[in-house]
Amino acid sequence: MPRGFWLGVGIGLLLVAAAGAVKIALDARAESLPVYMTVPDWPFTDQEGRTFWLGQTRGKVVVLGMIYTHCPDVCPLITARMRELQEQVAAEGLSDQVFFVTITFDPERDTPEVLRRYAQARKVDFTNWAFLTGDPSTIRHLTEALGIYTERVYVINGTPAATPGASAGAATYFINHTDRLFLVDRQGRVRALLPGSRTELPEAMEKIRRLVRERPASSVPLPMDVALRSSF
Amino acid sequence: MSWIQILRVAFAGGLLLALVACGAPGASGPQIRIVDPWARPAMSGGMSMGEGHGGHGGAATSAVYFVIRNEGDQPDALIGATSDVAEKVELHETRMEGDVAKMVPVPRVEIPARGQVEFRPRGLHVMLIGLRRDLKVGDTFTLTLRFEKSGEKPVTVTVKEMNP
Repeated sequence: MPRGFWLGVGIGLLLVAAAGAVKIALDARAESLPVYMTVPDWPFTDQEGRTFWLGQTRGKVVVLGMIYTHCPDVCPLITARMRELQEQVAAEGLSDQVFFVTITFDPERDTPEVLRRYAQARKVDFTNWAFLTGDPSTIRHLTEALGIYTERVYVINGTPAATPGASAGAATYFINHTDRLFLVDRQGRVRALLPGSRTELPEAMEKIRRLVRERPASSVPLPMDVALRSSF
Repeated sequence: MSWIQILRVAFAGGLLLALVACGAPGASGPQIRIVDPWARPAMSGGMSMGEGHGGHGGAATSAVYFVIRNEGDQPDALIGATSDVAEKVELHETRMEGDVAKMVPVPRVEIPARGQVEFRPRGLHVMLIGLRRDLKVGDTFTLTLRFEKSGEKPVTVTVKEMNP
Protein backbone atom coordinates (compact mmCIF):
# COMPACT_ATOMS: atom_id res chain seq x y z
CA MET A 1 0.00 0.00 0.00
CA PRO A 2 1.30 3.47 -0.77
CA ARG A 3 2.34 5.52 2.22
CA GLY A 4 -0.12 8.26 1.27
CA PHE A 5 -3.02 5.83 1.62
CA TRP A 6 -2.28 5.07 5.29
CA LEU A 7 -1.73 8.75 5.96
CA GLY A 8 -5.17 9.48 4.50
CA VAL A 9 -6.77 6.75 6.62
CA GLY A 10 -5.10 8.13 9.73
CA ILE A 11 -6.26 11.68 9.06
CA GLY A 12 -9.76 10.41 8.32
CA LEU A 13 -9.92 8.55 11.63
CA LEU A 14 -8.68 11.62 13.48
CA LEU A 15 -11.37 13.76 11.84
CA VAL A 16 -14.09 11.26 12.79
CA ALA A 17 -12.85 11.15 16.40
CA ALA A 18 -12.68 14.95 16.56
CA ALA A 19 -16.21 15.27 15.17
CA GLY A 20 -17.45 12.78 17.77
CA ALA A 21 -15.79 14.71 20.58
CA VAL A 22 -17.30 17.99 19.35
CA LYS A 23 -20.75 16.36 19.14
CA ILE A 24 -20.48 14.98 22.69
CA ALA A 25 -19.41 18.40 23.98
CA LEU A 26 -22.27 20.15 22.18
CA ASP A 27 -24.79 17.59 23.42
CA ALA A 28 -23.57 18.04 26.97
CA ARG A 29 -23.87 21.79 26.60
CA ALA A 30 -27.37 21.49 25.17
CA GLU A 31 -28.39 19.26 28.08
CA SER A 32 -26.97 21.47 30.80
CA LEU A 33 -29.44 23.43 32.86
CA PRO A 34 -29.24 27.23 33.01
CA VAL A 35 -27.74 29.04 35.98
CA TYR A 36 -30.21 31.45 37.60
CA MET A 37 -28.39 32.66 40.70
CA THR A 38 -26.30 31.52 43.66
CA VAL A 39 -28.17 30.80 46.88
CA PRO A 40 -26.72 33.07 49.60
CA ASP A 41 -24.85 31.39 52.43
CA TRP A 42 -26.90 32.80 55.29
CA PRO A 43 -27.54 31.29 58.74
CA PHE A 44 -30.88 29.76 59.71
CA THR A 45 -32.14 27.51 62.51
CA ASP A 46 -33.16 23.94 61.83
CA GLN A 47 -36.01 21.92 63.34
CA GLU A 48 -33.78 20.88 66.25
CA GLY A 49 -32.80 24.46 67.08
CA ARG A 50 -29.29 24.14 65.58
CA THR A 51 -27.68 26.79 63.40
CA PHE A 52 -27.78 25.76 59.76
CA TRP A 53 -25.86 27.72 57.13
CA LEU A 54 -27.25 27.28 53.65
CA GLY A 55 -23.62 26.86 52.50
CA GLN A 56 -23.56 23.56 54.40
CA THR A 57 -25.36 22.01 51.47
CA ARG A 58 -22.58 22.84 48.99
CA GLY A 59 -21.39 19.64 47.37
CA LYS A 60 -24.88 18.19 47.20
CA VAL A 61 -27.79 18.72 44.87
CA VAL A 62 -30.51 20.53 46.83
CA VAL A 63 -34.28 20.58 46.45
CA LEU A 64 -35.34 23.82 48.12
CA GLY A 65 -38.89 24.88 48.95
CA MET A 66 -40.46 27.74 50.92
CA ILE A 67 -43.70 27.26 52.86
CA TYR A 68 -45.55 28.29 56.02
CA THR A 69 -47.10 25.69 58.29
CA HIS A 70 -50.44 27.49 58.73
CA CYS A 71 -51.04 27.24 54.99
CA PRO A 72 -53.95 24.81 54.65
CA ASP A 73 -53.98 24.16 50.93
CA VAL A 74 -50.90 24.73 48.77
CA CYS A 75 -47.94 24.33 51.17
CA PRO A 76 -48.97 20.81 52.30
CA LEU A 77 -48.93 19.89 48.62
CA ILE A 78 -45.45 21.41 48.17
CA THR A 79 -44.24 19.33 51.13
CA ALA A 80 -45.97 16.24 49.74
CA ARG A 81 -44.23 16.74 46.40
CA MET A 82 -40.87 17.07 48.14
CA ARG A 83 -41.56 13.93 50.14
CA GLU A 84 -42.36 12.04 46.93
CA LEU A 85 -39.04 13.24 45.52
CA GLN A 86 -37.24 12.23 48.72
CA GLU A 87 -38.71 8.73 48.45
CA GLN A 88 -37.74 8.45 44.78
CA VAL A 89 -34.23 9.75 45.48
CA ALA A 90 -33.87 7.07 48.17
CA ALA A 91 -35.21 4.39 45.81
CA GLU A 92 -32.50 5.32 43.31
CA GLY A 93 -29.74 5.22 45.92
CA LEU A 94 -29.06 8.96 45.73
CA SER A 95 -29.90 9.98 49.30
CA ASP A 96 -26.27 10.79 50.09
CA GLN A 97 -26.07 13.15 47.11
CA VAL A 98 -29.40 14.98 47.29
CA PHE A 99 -30.47 17.15 50.22
CA PHE A 100 -33.88 18.69 50.86
CA VAL A 101 -34.39 22.10 52.47
CA THR A 102 -37.71 23.63 53.49
CA ILE A 103 -37.61 27.23 54.71
CA THR A 104 -40.57 29.00 56.28
CA PHE A 105 -41.53 32.50 55.26
CA ASP A 106 -43.54 32.85 58.47
CA PRO A 107 -40.81 32.79 61.17
CA GLU A 108 -43.04 34.52 63.75
CA ARG A 109 -45.24 31.42 64.01
CA ASP A 110 -42.97 28.72 62.63
CA THR A 111 -40.55 27.99 65.45
CA PRO A 112 -38.14 25.03 65.22
CA GLU A 113 -40.57 22.94 67.27
CA VAL A 114 -43.54 23.86 65.07
CA LEU A 115 -41.52 22.94 62.00
CA ARG A 116 -40.36 19.66 63.52
CA ARG A 117 -43.91 18.59 64.38
CA TYR A 118 -45.19 19.73 61.00
CA ALA A 119 -42.56 17.54 59.34
CA GLN A 120 -43.16 14.61 61.66
CA ALA A 121 -46.89 14.74 60.94
CA ARG A 122 -45.96 14.29 57.28
CA LYS A 123 -43.55 11.42 57.92
CA VAL A 124 -40.53 13.34 56.69
CA ASP A 125 -37.16 11.55 56.88
CA PHE A 126 -34.78 14.05 58.51
CA THR A 127 -31.69 12.13 57.32
CA ASN A 128 -31.39 14.38 54.27
CA TRP A 129 -34.04 17.03 54.92
CA ALA A 130 -33.84 20.17 57.08
CA PHE A 131 -36.73 22.46 58.01
CA LEU A 132 -35.43 25.96 58.62
CA THR A 133 -36.67 29.09 60.31
CA GLY A 134 -34.68 32.15 61.30
CA ASP A 135 -34.36 35.86 61.70
CA PRO A 136 -37.34 37.55 59.97
CA SER A 137 -35.15 40.02 58.10
CA THR A 138 -32.88 37.22 56.83
CA ILE A 139 -35.91 35.29 55.63
CA ARG A 140 -37.36 38.38 53.98
CA HIS A 141 -34.10 38.97 52.15
CA LEU A 142 -34.00 35.33 51.04
CA THR A 143 -37.54 35.47 49.63
CA GLU A 144 -36.56 38.61 47.74
CA ALA A 145 -33.35 37.01 46.45
CA LEU A 146 -35.21 33.92 45.26
CA GLY A 147 -38.06 35.91 43.76
CA ILE A 148 -40.64 34.47 46.12
CA TYR A 149 -43.61 36.83 46.46
CA THR A 150 -45.28 36.90 49.87
CA GLU A 151 -48.20 39.01 51.05
CA ARG A 152 -49.79 38.73 54.47
CA VAL A 153 -53.60 38.78 54.38
CA TYR A 154 -55.88 39.07 57.40
CA VAL A 155 -59.42 37.76 57.14
CA ILE A 156 -61.79 39.89 59.21
CA ASN A 157 -65.46 38.87 59.15
CA GLY A 158 -64.90 37.06 55.89
CA THR A 159 -63.20 40.01 54.21
CA PRO A 160 -59.47 40.07 53.32
CA ALA A 161 -57.49 42.98 54.76
CA ALA A 162 -53.85 44.02 54.57
CA THR A 163 -53.74 44.91 58.28
CA PRO A 164 -55.18 43.18 61.35
CA GLY A 165 -57.25 46.26 62.23
CA ALA A 166 -58.67 46.57 65.72
CA SER A 167 -58.74 42.81 66.35
CA ALA A 168 -54.97 42.53 66.37
CA GLY A 169 -54.80 40.09 69.25
CA ALA A 170 -56.92 37.34 67.76
CA ALA A 171 -56.42 38.08 64.09
CA THR A 172 -55.50 35.14 61.91
CA TYR A 173 -53.48 35.80 58.83
CA PHE A 174 -52.70 33.86 55.73
CA ILE A 175 -49.89 34.44 53.30
CA ASN A 176 -50.38 34.67 49.57
CA HIS A 177 -47.18 33.30 48.09
CA THR A 178 -45.34 32.00 45.05
CA ASP A 179 -45.81 28.27 44.48
CA ARG A 180 -42.30 27.17 43.45
CA LEU A 181 -39.49 24.71 44.11
CA PHE A 182 -35.81 25.26 43.32
CA LEU A 183 -33.18 22.75 42.20
CA VAL A 184 -29.74 23.83 43.36
CA ASP A 185 -26.49 22.32 42.07
CA ARG A 186 -23.46 21.19 44.07
CA GLN A 187 -22.00 24.71 43.89
CA GLY A 188 -25.09 26.31 45.40
CA ARG A 189 -26.45 27.69 42.15
CA VAL A 190 -30.16 27.60 41.29
CA ARG A 191 -30.39 25.56 38.08
CA ALA A 192 -34.09 24.82 37.71
CA LEU A 193 -37.41 26.28 38.84
CA LEU A 194 -40.23 23.78 39.39
CA PRO A 195 -43.92 24.66 39.79
CA GLY A 196 -44.14 23.88 43.52
CA SER A 197 -47.30 21.96 44.36
CA ARG A 198 -47.81 21.18 40.67
CA THR A 199 -44.37 19.64 40.19
CA GLU A 200 -44.38 16.46 38.10
CA LEU A 201 -42.22 13.74 39.63
CA PRO A 202 -40.67 12.37 36.38
CA GLU A 203 -39.62 15.83 35.13
CA ALA A 204 -38.16 16.81 38.50
CA MET A 205 -36.27 13.51 38.86
CA GLU A 206 -34.83 13.85 35.37
CA LYS A 207 -33.36 17.25 36.32
CA ILE A 208 -32.15 16.00 39.70
CA ARG A 209 -30.36 13.07 38.02
CA ARG A 210 -28.78 15.45 35.54
CA LEU A 211 -27.43 17.66 38.35
CA VAL A 212 -26.20 14.61 40.26
CA ARG A 213 -24.28 13.48 37.16
CA GLU A 214 -22.50 16.83 36.86
CA ARG A 215 -18.89 16.71 38.01
CA PRO A 216 -18.55 17.92 41.61
CA ALA A 217 -16.89 21.30 42.02
CA SER A 218 -14.04 19.68 43.91
CA SER A 219 -13.00 16.09 44.44
CA VAL A 220 -11.74 17.03 47.89
CA PRO A 221 -14.32 16.25 50.61
CA LEU A 222 -16.05 19.48 51.53
CA PRO A 223 -16.38 20.69 55.12
CA MET A 224 -20.17 20.59 54.74
CA ASP A 225 -20.07 16.82 54.32
CA VAL A 226 -18.49 16.55 57.74
CA ALA A 227 -21.03 19.00 59.17
CA LEU A 228 -23.98 17.08 57.72
CA ARG A 229 -22.69 13.76 58.98
CA SER A 230 -22.25 15.11 62.47
CA SER A 231 -25.66 16.83 62.42
CA PHE A 232 -27.83 13.89 61.42
CA MET B 1 -124.25 6.14 46.98
CA SER B 2 -123.51 2.84 45.27
CA TRP B 3 -120.27 0.91 45.74
CA ILE B 4 -119.22 1.86 42.25
CA GLN B 5 -119.70 5.56 43.03
CA ILE B 6 -117.75 5.17 46.29
CA LEU B 7 -114.89 3.49 44.43
CA ARG B 8 -114.91 6.25 41.80
CA VAL B 9 -114.71 8.95 44.47
CA ALA B 10 -111.94 7.08 46.29
CA PHE B 11 -109.98 6.62 43.05
CA ALA B 12 -110.39 10.28 42.12
CA GLY B 13 -109.36 11.35 45.60
CA GLY B 14 -106.28 9.14 45.52
CA LEU B 15 -105.33 10.47 42.12
CA LEU B 16 -105.74 14.03 43.36
CA LEU B 17 -103.60 13.33 46.43
CA ALA B 18 -100.90 11.74 44.28
CA LEU B 19 -100.86 14.76 41.95
CA VAL B 20 -100.69 17.16 44.89
CA ALA B 21 -97.85 15.13 46.41
CA CYS B 22 -95.91 15.16 43.15
CA GLY B 23 -96.31 18.89 42.85
CA ALA B 24 -95.53 19.66 46.48
CA PRO B 25 -92.47 21.84 47.17
CA GLY B 26 -90.81 19.11 49.27
CA ALA B 27 -90.69 16.68 46.39
CA SER B 28 -88.84 18.99 44.02
CA GLY B 29 -86.13 21.55 44.69
CA PRO B 30 -82.49 20.83 45.49
CA GLN B 31 -81.43 17.37 46.61
CA ILE B 32 -77.97 17.71 48.10
CA ARG B 33 -75.53 14.84 48.56
CA ILE B 34 -71.99 15.21 49.93
CA VAL B 35 -69.51 12.74 48.46
CA ASP B 36 -66.16 11.63 50.00
CA PRO B 37 -65.47 14.38 52.55
CA TRP B 38 -61.82 14.33 53.69
CA ALA B 39 -59.39 16.63 55.51
CA ARG B 40 -55.66 17.06 55.71
CA PRO B 41 -53.81 15.95 58.84
CA ALA B 42 -52.83 18.91 61.01
CA MET B 43 -51.66 19.82 64.47
CA SER B 44 -53.75 21.81 66.89
CA GLY B 45 -52.47 25.13 68.22
CA GLY B 46 -51.21 23.35 71.34
CA MET B 47 -48.93 21.29 69.11
CA SER B 48 -49.72 18.08 70.97
CA MET B 49 -49.29 15.84 67.95
CA GLY B 50 -46.51 13.32 68.23
CA GLU B 51 -44.57 13.76 71.45
CA GLY B 52 -47.27 15.63 73.29
CA HIS B 53 -45.65 18.66 74.88
CA GLY B 54 -46.80 22.19 74.30
CA GLY B 55 -45.54 24.97 72.11
CA HIS B 56 -46.52 28.11 70.29
CA GLY B 57 -48.54 27.17 67.27
CA GLY B 58 -50.99 30.03 66.77
CA ALA B 59 -54.27 29.34 65.03
CA ALA B 60 -53.53 25.99 63.42
CA THR B 61 -55.45 25.27 60.24
CA SER B 62 -56.60 22.46 58.03
CA ALA B 63 -58.77 22.16 54.95
CA VAL B 64 -61.73 19.94 54.08
CA TYR B 65 -62.54 18.73 50.58
CA PHE B 66 -65.54 16.94 49.06
CA VAL B 67 -67.92 16.93 46.13
CA ILE B 68 -71.42 18.44 46.49
CA ARG B 69 -73.94 16.83 44.17
CA ASN B 70 -77.34 18.35 43.60
CA GLU B 71 -79.64 15.74 42.13
CA GLY B 72 -82.68 18.01 42.39
CA ASP B 73 -84.22 20.32 39.83
CA GLN B 74 -83.54 23.53 41.76
CA PRO B 75 -80.21 25.22 42.51
CA ASP B 76 -78.96 25.74 46.03
CA ALA B 77 -76.01 27.52 47.64
CA LEU B 78 -73.52 26.57 50.35
CA ILE B 79 -73.46 29.55 52.69
CA GLY B 80 -71.42 28.36 55.66
CA ALA B 81 -70.17 25.52 57.83
CA THR B 82 -69.44 24.71 61.47
CA SER B 83 -67.47 22.05 63.31
CA ASP B 84 -66.50 21.31 66.89
CA VAL B 85 -62.88 20.73 65.90
CA ALA B 86 -62.20 24.36 64.98
CA GLU B 87 -62.90 27.79 66.42
CA LYS B 88 -63.77 29.18 63.01
CA VAL B 89 -64.89 27.52 59.80
CA GLU B 90 -64.85 29.49 56.56
CA LEU B 91 -65.35 28.86 52.87
CA HIS B 92 -62.20 29.72 50.93
CA GLU B 93 -60.79 29.34 47.48
CA THR B 94 -57.16 29.18 46.39
CA ARG B 95 -56.73 31.11 43.19
CA MET B 96 -53.53 31.00 41.13
CA GLU B 97 -52.40 34.29 39.64
CA GLY B 98 -49.43 33.23 37.56
CA ASP B 99 -47.44 31.11 40.00
CA VAL B 100 -48.74 32.99 43.06
CA ALA B 101 -51.29 31.14 45.20
CA LYS B 102 -53.84 33.50 46.74
CA MET B 103 -56.35 32.66 49.44
CA VAL B 104 -59.74 34.24 48.87
CA PRO B 105 -62.71 33.98 51.27
CA VAL B 106 -65.90 32.97 49.48
CA PRO B 107 -69.25 34.06 51.02
CA ARG B 108 -71.36 31.50 49.11
CA VAL B 109 -70.91 28.72 46.59
CA GLU B 110 -73.70 28.19 44.08
CA ILE B 111 -74.69 24.56 43.53
CA PRO B 112 -76.49 24.24 40.18
CA ALA B 113 -79.55 22.03 39.69
CA ARG B 114 -78.61 18.54 38.54
CA GLY B 115 -74.97 19.53 38.84
CA GLN B 116 -72.03 19.29 41.18
CA VAL B 117 -69.27 21.43 42.66
CA GLU B 118 -65.91 19.99 43.62
CA PHE B 119 -63.96 21.22 46.64
CA ARG B 120 -60.38 20.14 45.96
CA PRO B 121 -56.74 21.04 46.68
CA ARG B 122 -55.69 24.33 45.00
CA GLY B 123 -59.36 25.21 44.60
CA LEU B 124 -62.45 25.59 46.79
CA HIS B 125 -62.07 24.28 50.35
CA VAL B 126 -63.58 24.58 53.78
CA MET B 127 -61.02 26.17 56.09
CA LEU B 128 -60.75 24.98 59.68
CA ILE B 129 -59.13 27.82 61.61
CA GLY B 130 -57.92 27.42 65.18
CA LEU B 131 -57.97 23.64 65.51
CA ARG B 132 -59.05 22.45 68.94
CA ARG B 133 -57.45 19.04 68.51
CA ASP B 134 -54.98 17.24 66.31
CA LEU B 135 -56.26 15.77 63.10
CA LYS B 136 -54.39 12.51 62.56
CA VAL B 137 -54.69 10.17 59.63
CA GLY B 138 -57.70 7.91 60.19
CA ASP B 139 -59.48 10.32 62.58
CA THR B 140 -63.05 11.33 61.83
CA PHE B 141 -65.05 14.39 62.85
CA THR B 142 -68.37 16.03 62.04
CA LEU B 143 -68.65 19.02 59.74
CA THR B 144 -72.04 20.64 59.34
CA LEU B 145 -72.60 22.34 56.01
CA ARG B 146 -75.25 25.04 55.83
CA PHE B 147 -77.22 25.40 52.61
CA GLU B 148 -79.51 28.27 51.69
CA LYS B 149 -82.48 26.04 50.83
CA SER B 150 -81.59 22.59 52.11
CA GLY B 151 -80.60 23.74 55.57
CA GLU B 152 -77.92 22.01 57.62
CA LYS B 153 -76.27 18.82 56.39
CA PRO B 154 -73.90 17.12 58.85
CA VAL B 155 -71.22 14.96 57.26
CA THR B 156 -68.51 12.72 58.69
CA VAL B 157 -65.06 13.82 57.53
CA THR B 158 -62.12 11.38 57.42
CA VAL B 159 -58.55 12.63 57.87
CA LYS B 160 -56.42 11.28 55.04
CA GLU B 161 -52.81 11.33 53.93
CA MET B 162 -51.76 13.90 51.39
CA ASN B 163 -53.15 13.01 48.01
CA PRO B 164 -51.72 15.60 45.68
